[in-house]
Amino acid sequence: MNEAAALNPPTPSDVAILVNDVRKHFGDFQALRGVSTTVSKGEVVCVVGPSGGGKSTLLRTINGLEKIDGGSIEVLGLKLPGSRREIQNIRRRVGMVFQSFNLFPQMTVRRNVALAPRTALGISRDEANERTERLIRRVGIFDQIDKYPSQLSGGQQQRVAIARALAMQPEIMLFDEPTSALDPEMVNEVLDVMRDLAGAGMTMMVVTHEMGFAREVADRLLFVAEGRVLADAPPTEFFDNPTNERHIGFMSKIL
Amino acid sequence: MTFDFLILRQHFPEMLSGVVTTVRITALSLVLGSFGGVVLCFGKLAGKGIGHVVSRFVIDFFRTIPEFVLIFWVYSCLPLLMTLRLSSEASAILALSLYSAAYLAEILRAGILSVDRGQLEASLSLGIPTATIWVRVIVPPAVRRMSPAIISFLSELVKVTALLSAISVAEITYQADILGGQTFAFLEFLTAAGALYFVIIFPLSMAARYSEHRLHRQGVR
Repeated sequence: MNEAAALNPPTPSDVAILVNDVRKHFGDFQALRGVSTTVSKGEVVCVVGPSGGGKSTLLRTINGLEKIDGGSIEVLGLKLPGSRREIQNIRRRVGMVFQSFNLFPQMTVRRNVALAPRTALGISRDEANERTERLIRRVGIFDQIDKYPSQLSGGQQQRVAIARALAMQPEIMLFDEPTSALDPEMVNEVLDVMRDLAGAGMTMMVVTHEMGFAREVADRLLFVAEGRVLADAPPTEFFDNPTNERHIGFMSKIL
Repeated sequence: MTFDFLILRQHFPEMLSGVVTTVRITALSLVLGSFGGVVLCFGKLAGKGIGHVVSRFVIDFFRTIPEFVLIFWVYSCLPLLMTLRLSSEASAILALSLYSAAYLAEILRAGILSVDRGQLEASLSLGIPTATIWVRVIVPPAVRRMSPAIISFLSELVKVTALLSAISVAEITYQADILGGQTFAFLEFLTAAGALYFVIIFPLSMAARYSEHRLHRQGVR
């Protein structure tokens, strides 16, 4: 944890995500070996590190897609591990965007976006439609609204996926390598949408390899490797003054 | 030797009633088997526990024993073990429902497992209610993907009903055999039986081919 945060611990109401000594293993493989971190409301935290180091697993524990084996997580005051109902509550308040988009292929863009608010929140058809159109316009693909995912480019699909997550009006957004499956020329259109979101004050946790984006948008960066948080610092310190040995090694490879 | 069409025309009503019986038994076995198949499929998908073990055993058992033995066993041995007496048609439906349940369970399971895991995770992460996830996200692509297999299983089932003649269920083969014996016109009646099966099954195999073709054309969708 950085010094400023240590001196001024965030008050509970400011905390969006509290991860405390979380452990997770898949068979013999220890994916998370005691991870602790805090994300405050409105903060943008980027998570970087080598593949297989536990970044995605960490993100997926926060909305209960991976059950944790030890430690605890608190999301918007709701605790994990928790009952099905509590997990459902967390998921309705936390949006997630995946590397492979995961749109529903048998539904149009419009239906993809409207499904969750219609069925999970029970809002009216008109309200869902109004919300869908507003969000699809916001991510800049209103002319594609009645197409199927397979008719869209990767960048467009990922923007639909972001709109779909936003349709639940989440308080936190989790991004799991959102641009890693995209052709290079489509990366920016997705990052632009994410920049806008960050600018609008969304609490975000982003697993990414886009160092330029991380440096520009993140309030803090975590370096996760070997199932541990090996560094946690604001961008300038993270990029210019790495102290952990693994972190230094990683930075020298990517920069 | 001449082929006597006239005799077929005379006994058209009996042959038609054979067709009706074949179709009725196939349809009832398919419907009952679907219910059983869904239960067995979810039992096996559970991955552990008593339901899983039982489902796996039932599926493996009814897929391994010859249909002919199963039909005979239900017809002749079940009454020895229990007090209930089933008509030959009821025994037939019971045997073929068990047979269908075992095969359909595996087809359903393969269809469900073929749905991209990412779509399940996306719908979970959105907090969509479980029932909606099944109905809207998992079942539509699963059904589309398993429809060729279901249709070809249905053709198999129609063929298997011919074995029911052995327990004197008055379906197509039984009628042809009996009428052949009564009139000595085996050539006519057994040929007609073959033609009738063809008329029932050929459209099914065309439908299977069409739905497979459509699936390929849709590619990623």
